[in-house]
Amino acid sequence: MPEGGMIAQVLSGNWNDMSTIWPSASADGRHPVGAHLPEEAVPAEQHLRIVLDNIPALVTTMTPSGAIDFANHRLLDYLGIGLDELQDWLQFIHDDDRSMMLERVKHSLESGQSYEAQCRIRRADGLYRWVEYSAVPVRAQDGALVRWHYLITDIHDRKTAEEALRRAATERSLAEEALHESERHSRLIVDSIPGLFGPLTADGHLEFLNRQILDYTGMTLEELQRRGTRDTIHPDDLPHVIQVFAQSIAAGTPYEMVWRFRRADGVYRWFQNDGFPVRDPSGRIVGWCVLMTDIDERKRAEEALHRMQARLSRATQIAAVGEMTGSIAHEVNQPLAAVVANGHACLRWLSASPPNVARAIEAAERIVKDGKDAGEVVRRVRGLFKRTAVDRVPLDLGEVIREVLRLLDSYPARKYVSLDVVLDPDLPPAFADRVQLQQLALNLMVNALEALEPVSGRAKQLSVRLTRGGPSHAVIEISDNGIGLDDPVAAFEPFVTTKPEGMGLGLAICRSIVAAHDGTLSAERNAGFGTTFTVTLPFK
Amino acid sequence: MTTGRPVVFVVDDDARVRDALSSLLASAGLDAMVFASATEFLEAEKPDTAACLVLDLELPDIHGLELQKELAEREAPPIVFITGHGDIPSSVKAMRAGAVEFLSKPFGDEELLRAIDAALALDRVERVKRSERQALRDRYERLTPREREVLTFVVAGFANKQTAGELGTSEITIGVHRGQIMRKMGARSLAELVRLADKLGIPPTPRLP
Repeated sequence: MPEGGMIAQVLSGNWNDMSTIWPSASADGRHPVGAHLPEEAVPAEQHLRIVLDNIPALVTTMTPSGAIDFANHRLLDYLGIGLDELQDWLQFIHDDDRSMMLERVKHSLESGQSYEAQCRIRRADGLYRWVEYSAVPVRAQDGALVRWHYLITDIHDRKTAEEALRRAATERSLAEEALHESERHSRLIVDSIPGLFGPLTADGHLEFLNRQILDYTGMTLEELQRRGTRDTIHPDDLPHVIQVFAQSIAAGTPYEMVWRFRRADGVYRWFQNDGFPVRDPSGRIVGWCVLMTDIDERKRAEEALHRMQARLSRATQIAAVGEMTGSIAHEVNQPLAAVVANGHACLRWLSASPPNVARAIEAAERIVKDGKDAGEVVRRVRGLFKRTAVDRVPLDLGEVIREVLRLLDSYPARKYVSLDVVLDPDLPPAFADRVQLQQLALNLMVNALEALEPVSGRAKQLSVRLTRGGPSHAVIEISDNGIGLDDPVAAFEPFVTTKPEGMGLGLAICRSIVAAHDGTLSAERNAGFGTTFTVTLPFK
Repeated sequence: MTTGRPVVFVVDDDARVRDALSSLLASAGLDAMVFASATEFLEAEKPDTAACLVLDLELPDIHGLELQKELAEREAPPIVFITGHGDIPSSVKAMRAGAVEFLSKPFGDEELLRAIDAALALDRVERVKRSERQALRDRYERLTPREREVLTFVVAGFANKQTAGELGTSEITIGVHRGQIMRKMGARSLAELVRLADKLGIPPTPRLP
């Protein structure tokens, strides 16, 4: 009998009668070589044993009644037991698989059908491993079932690898699915944002743009990347934008600014731009979120309103002055008219023939009275213009300046001007009139803002400093880099102005306020652009 | 009917100005009546004589220009404005609305008296015109309704025969009406009758084509 055929027979269970070649088991279940076996059978049987004990598989057989009557060495070694212990084979099956295996075995014993199953069994080292059972019934020539042959294969490594692979694959595909879904979702949201949205890289480069930006500019991401700020941001806004942006990127702080952004048709519209840093869990900035909102209409309405307000206040001022001169003129002209008319009447009464002296005297008396009246009017008018008493109280100069700065927030020229304010918090109070000092600070700052208004091509700056000028006085410096004064000294004269709408009274008023507080006010041209006004005020 | 001496009404809220002006006007031989407000002036009984109004532009109750507008609807005397403000727009408005003069306070006696003289002269002419118009109106009042009807045909140049045809009566009857009209209206010729009708604002009957 060739070896291959024998093994094949063993494995396929096609033996006619196993008992002819099968040695009876010894007490320990291991078959001692050469015992009770016919001489000629020994080599074949021995050979068979060697083969069975050495094939890389676990082999066992079971009688139709369910008793294990053989197991190869590999199986016994695998389980670390003897054949006797194998009788109670169920104990080696994993708790979770045991009932299933019992069912299977019972079923096959009853039905006599071959089967395959997988379960976990406990190895000698106590670890459960996945194995595959193949059970094959062996029948006698009359068809009676004589024995069950089992081939058990350790499939643990393969199975766990497969499982790990499957698990990994599942996890990956779930993750990918989720990622895609979330990307689609994000993209949808980003494209639906009612504004122009575009994240930037940590160093401020364009990374992605939503549909609105692309539609608005009529350009692709690549075009916009190539173009940068050229023909996108209004050139007049650019210096300010670059300054704010660079500061924000460097400091990692959110920014908020307003600029004009070019539409596909070349029209610049006003946008509110909000940028905020995106940080990873460690706090590092990984990018920037930039949201731009079209505020063009709102902005234009605001500007129109401001222009109207400015015109109105100027008109009111002019009207007030006109009204005042009018009423002064009227007040003076009334008695003057009476004086002149009475004078003429007096002359006429005297030159009549005969002269009517009585009526002439009446007229002359009225002249005296009306003349006095006119003098009284002039006195009252002078009183009106005389500086009213200064109401001096201890004042925190820093607070006065802050109040004025708040007032300026809504002033149209304040836009695009970066403020640089340093106020010494430790100054003693100054004894001064609050309203007059507010007027002083307001005049000087409005002056500076108006000097900045026509500026383009450089960032507009207004700096305000409050410092201690010495033991007895404070110094306020208000400096701009605006268009500057031609003659800083002449600027203080009434009715001298560089402003088309100005009345030229602002600085003259400032100086009279400072003088009333025993301080000084001076103006100087800056080395670069603009003017610095310096006020000194004694603490008292 | 011009009766008595002319009178100058002065309306100014400032007593000093009123006193001075009435003295000045008296010294110039003019009668003056002074009022402190527009209301006072409007409510006062005024003599039926040539007059003018020296009116302060700024009155406490009503602006001078406003009063001027109101007076234009009545048969009021010409106005000489005086003002302590003397703004150009007001003066332009006042002059356009028919003021004789617009004087800024203080003004000289010559300026004022010259303006008053001119205003009084103007008022005399106006009064004559007014009384002539009134007389004419009185005469027209005496026409019968039928005569007034015939008048419109006559002034339109219709011959008696045509008029008779239009009104469905005889030529002779129209001739009688025509004689009565000429007599009652005091017209010596057809041309004069046409002129008088025009003064009365009677429209001629349009000729049919």
